[in-house]
Amino acid sequence: MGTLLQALILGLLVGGVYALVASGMNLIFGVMQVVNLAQGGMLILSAYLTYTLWEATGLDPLLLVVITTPCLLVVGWATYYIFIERSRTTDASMALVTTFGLTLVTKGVIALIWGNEPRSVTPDYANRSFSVLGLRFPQAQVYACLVAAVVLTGLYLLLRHTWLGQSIRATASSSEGARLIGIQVRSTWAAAFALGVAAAGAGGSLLSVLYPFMPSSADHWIGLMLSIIVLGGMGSLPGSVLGAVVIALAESLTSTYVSPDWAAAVPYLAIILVLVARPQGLLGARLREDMSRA
Amino acid sequence: MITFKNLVAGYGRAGDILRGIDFTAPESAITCIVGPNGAGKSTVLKACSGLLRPRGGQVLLGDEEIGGRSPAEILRRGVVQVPQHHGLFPSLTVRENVMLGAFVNRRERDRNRRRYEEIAQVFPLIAERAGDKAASLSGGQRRTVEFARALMLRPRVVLLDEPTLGLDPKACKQIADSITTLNKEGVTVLMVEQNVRFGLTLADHAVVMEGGRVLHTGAADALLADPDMGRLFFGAAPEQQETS
Amino acid sequence: MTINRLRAGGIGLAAVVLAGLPLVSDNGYLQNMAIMVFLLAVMASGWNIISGYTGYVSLGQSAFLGAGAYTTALLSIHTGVSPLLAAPAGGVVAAAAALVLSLVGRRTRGIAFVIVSFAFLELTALLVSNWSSLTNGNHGLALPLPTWDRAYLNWPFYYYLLVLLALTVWGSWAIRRSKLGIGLMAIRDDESKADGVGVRTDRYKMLAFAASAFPIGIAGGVYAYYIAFLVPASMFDIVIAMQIVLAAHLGGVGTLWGPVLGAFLLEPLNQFTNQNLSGPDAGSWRLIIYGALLAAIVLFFPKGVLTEGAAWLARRRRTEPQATAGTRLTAVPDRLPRPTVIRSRTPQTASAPLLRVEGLNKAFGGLHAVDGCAFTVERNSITGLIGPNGSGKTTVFNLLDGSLAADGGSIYLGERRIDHLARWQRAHAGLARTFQATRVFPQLTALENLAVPSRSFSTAGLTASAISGKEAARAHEWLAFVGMDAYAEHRAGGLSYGQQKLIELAQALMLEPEVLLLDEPAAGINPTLVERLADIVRKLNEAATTVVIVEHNMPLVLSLCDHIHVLAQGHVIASGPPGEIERDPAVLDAYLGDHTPGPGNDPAPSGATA
Repeated sequence: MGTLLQALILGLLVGGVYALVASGMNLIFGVMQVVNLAQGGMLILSAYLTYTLWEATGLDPLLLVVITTPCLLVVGWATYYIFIERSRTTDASMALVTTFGLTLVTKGVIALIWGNEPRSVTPDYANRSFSVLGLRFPQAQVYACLVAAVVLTGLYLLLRHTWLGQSIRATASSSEGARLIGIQVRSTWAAAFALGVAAAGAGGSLLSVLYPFMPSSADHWIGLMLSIIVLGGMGSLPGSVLGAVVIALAESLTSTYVSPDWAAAVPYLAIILVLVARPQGLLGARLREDMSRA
Repeated sequence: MITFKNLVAGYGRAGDILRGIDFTAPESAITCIVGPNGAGKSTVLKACSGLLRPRGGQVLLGDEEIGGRSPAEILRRGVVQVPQHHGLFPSLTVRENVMLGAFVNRRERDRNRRRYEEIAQVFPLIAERAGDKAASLSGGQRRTVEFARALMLRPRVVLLDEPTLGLDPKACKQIADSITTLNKEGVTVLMVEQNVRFGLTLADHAVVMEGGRVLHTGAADALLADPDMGRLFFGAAPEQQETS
Repeated sequence: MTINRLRAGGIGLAAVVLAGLPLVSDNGYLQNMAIMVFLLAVMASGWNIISGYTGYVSLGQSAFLGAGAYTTALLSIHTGVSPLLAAPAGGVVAAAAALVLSLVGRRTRGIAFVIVSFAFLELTALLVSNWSSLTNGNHGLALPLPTWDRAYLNWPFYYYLLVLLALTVWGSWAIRRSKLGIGLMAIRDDESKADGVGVRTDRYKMLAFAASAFPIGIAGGVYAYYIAFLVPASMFDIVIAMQIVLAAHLGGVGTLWGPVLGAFLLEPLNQFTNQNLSGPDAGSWRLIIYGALLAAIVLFFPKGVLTEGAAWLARRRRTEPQATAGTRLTAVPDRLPRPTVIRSRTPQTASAPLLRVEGLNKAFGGLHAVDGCAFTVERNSITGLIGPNGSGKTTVFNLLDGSLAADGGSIYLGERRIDHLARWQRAHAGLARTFQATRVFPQLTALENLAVPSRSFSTAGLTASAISGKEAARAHEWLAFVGMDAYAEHRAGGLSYGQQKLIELAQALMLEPEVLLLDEPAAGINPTLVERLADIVRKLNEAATTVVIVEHNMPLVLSLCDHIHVLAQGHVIASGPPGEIERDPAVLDAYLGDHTPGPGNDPAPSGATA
């Protein structure tokens, strides 16, 4: 019983961070139907940025989101205009090729600057835990989950209650309609893409404290993000929170009760099971193109 | 009010769709463009609303050139388009859809809110379904919401692209009423309509287009009464076909 | 003509050069590069079958490479058979894996399938690395060393893969020009529409997946022998999967030679970066160069070298074709050509209605779109289905043709109950329809569009030529019948809206249906075309086709139909001949709005105004 509760707690805490990590990819998909595989590279890039800033200044790595998020916002914005805008005018698989290419470039650049060895950010609370009723709440996990909740709430409010959010949601719903009422669709797409990358930036800072990372970690995180947004429903922000929690719980339970070796298979199994059983995900619009047209 | 001078326009690499359009849609009148599929009727509207940049010629609003300006700039001048389809935001609520009509004047919050209340009184549907997603509306209701959205800016000119497409006769009548109401408030209407009789009965002026050119302009009722034009463009009524 | 001869010459020359290369040069570097090029070309050609022809973009193609490699390796280690002989078994296992993927991806399309294929790759990789009792996991698997004389170096690998490449290209060519191929391309353009015209899409896709993976599996077996040591990470590698996608895009997706050309362009570059970069940062630079290349391809050759080149040549050779849109149609001939005689598949029972709908129900969430709908359609009638927007007319059509499953009720075509049948089965049974928003296969020509409909399914029938002999003649006849024969070779997507409507109609007619369902055929088309349509419908009806028509154009409905059903809130509120319907107070209230004729839809003969 204690083991089960412990596994659930760890799963929930990690789920909060996963939700933030996947929210950016989900936002970008929801607005422009581009599966941005570059998110993986961006995430790791932000983790390395956090590492360097933390080493140089000694500031709390979780608070460094204040710096990494705007940095990645700029990176995302530039990426949109240089690569994404042209690739998405062709077809979906081309945009995939482009964004995968960008992840490779990011990995290469990171390896040139920081090398290929695993790094980790270890503030003094990294190995401490709160203990409540005999259950362990690792401090790093708790703080990271709180920061993730704050960032996600901010993102949600931005989308719901600002004109930028309104234009993003309107453009996601119908770009032709958006153009008609005077929304600058092109800059709205750029803004949504930049926001999505910025969310990965925030996520990168958090995960730098929780897990060791190296350039090739990007691939693992891409798989995880994909599984979360597929599970939750592509394009649905609340869905990605739910999907993240489910995946994190499943991983935590699998590694407790089956074997850590198979925990890595959880996201992929989840993708396949969801798409076979319920293609529209837990929340969110249908994925089947032919159904939406009928 | 809106004058086209030797307008040339087309899409992407393809050739020109419009090959020199000249006509005027007079102030406070309803002008209807008719012609076969692919004649370039919708393209005229797009060139006017800024969705398509003309390749040559002019689009004048009064005396001011608006051809090639951005949709936002044209909207601010009071020219609003109601498109053929894909105009609404299906995943947003009816209220959000209507409010977004004032996007280019988004900073004037109070004025927009008041305007919304006025519109909700004119169109009871808006008030009734304010919180529902636009996707849940029927075809006729969507049209109404699009009309309501167009009114948010208190437009001087409304461009209508096939307002009756896919609508049942009852909804068509409601649309006709809405257009007449608009016009009585002094709004200039430029519309494209495939349902020629519907369009010309409603309109004051008619423009006949074919192959990217204007073939004829004149009073709508005269065109409707002209037997030659009738045979060429409206098709003989099926009844006549059987007796001939 | 000269272009074709030039191409044939080029391919012949390339074949001779490649066949002779090892004989004239024993340069190991060159041979290695050629082997890697062949491998990539085989994989890209295989990928092209499911992704280029069928439109299911796969990021998991290297799973088939891995499946073939591991199968071959295990077979030869445990039985002692030469890997070169065991490789076809690797192909079989890869094809079986592809069938699993096609079943898993059965309900997904587009981006969702891309993600599924990626997950499939990662899962198979995990399976192979965690199943260490069989595969030795991440410690790797060593294959026996080649037994032939060292003097022959890489010859066996080289020729094996070269022949495999030739066979793969030949297979790809054969698929392209067969019924299977045109069905696959129809699936790519609009899968549910393909289903509706009688294409058994599930079988087509399974065949395509298997055909795609089989050569890759064989190549995987040969490759395993060639590199002699297997670890999961080097076979089930997402980067290899991406290389495949890239090679195909570089050359031209969906073309026959594009993927091959792409491999010949890409692999040397790969080898170059492998060989010429050294030092501790070589790996990083390789990632950067490779990634940048991936991104750059999209910016400079979005459609592939071959496709862009062909387009460029086409532009140079002739001037832009004049836009076909915007001009009046040629006059309707006095007598439209007679359709071929329509055989009756349902036994003729004089009095029984041809189509019978009873208690049909369909709800979307809380909304009852179709609610206890019941009506009959008499044989050889033109029956109208009218009603206000949202009254459920199109939903009824969707239930009739099977694009939606009913919640309750039954549908009979003649004596046969069809509501439990799949869409393609209903098409085979004699049901055809057109859509309100016209749906043709945009990338196929008008003629090819007419070659897609299928009234039967047999695996052997799939190998038949896509459009030939009698069928081609019949397609031309129907095109002529709707007045579109002049556009037979035009891409359907480039035609005007009205022309697409006519193509869609002709396509439905290729099924020689018992019942033809027309959904708002007159919406959005100009009156002259409406007249032509009415004419066509009458002619068809004379030739014993029963027509059901949903339409708001009241003059058209009243003049055309023998019988009209009026729908409101999902059920029939009135039925009768046109004269009765236009005076029915319930209809006037629910549908027409009031008793005074409206401006454009007056039920009275409106020709008087003209």
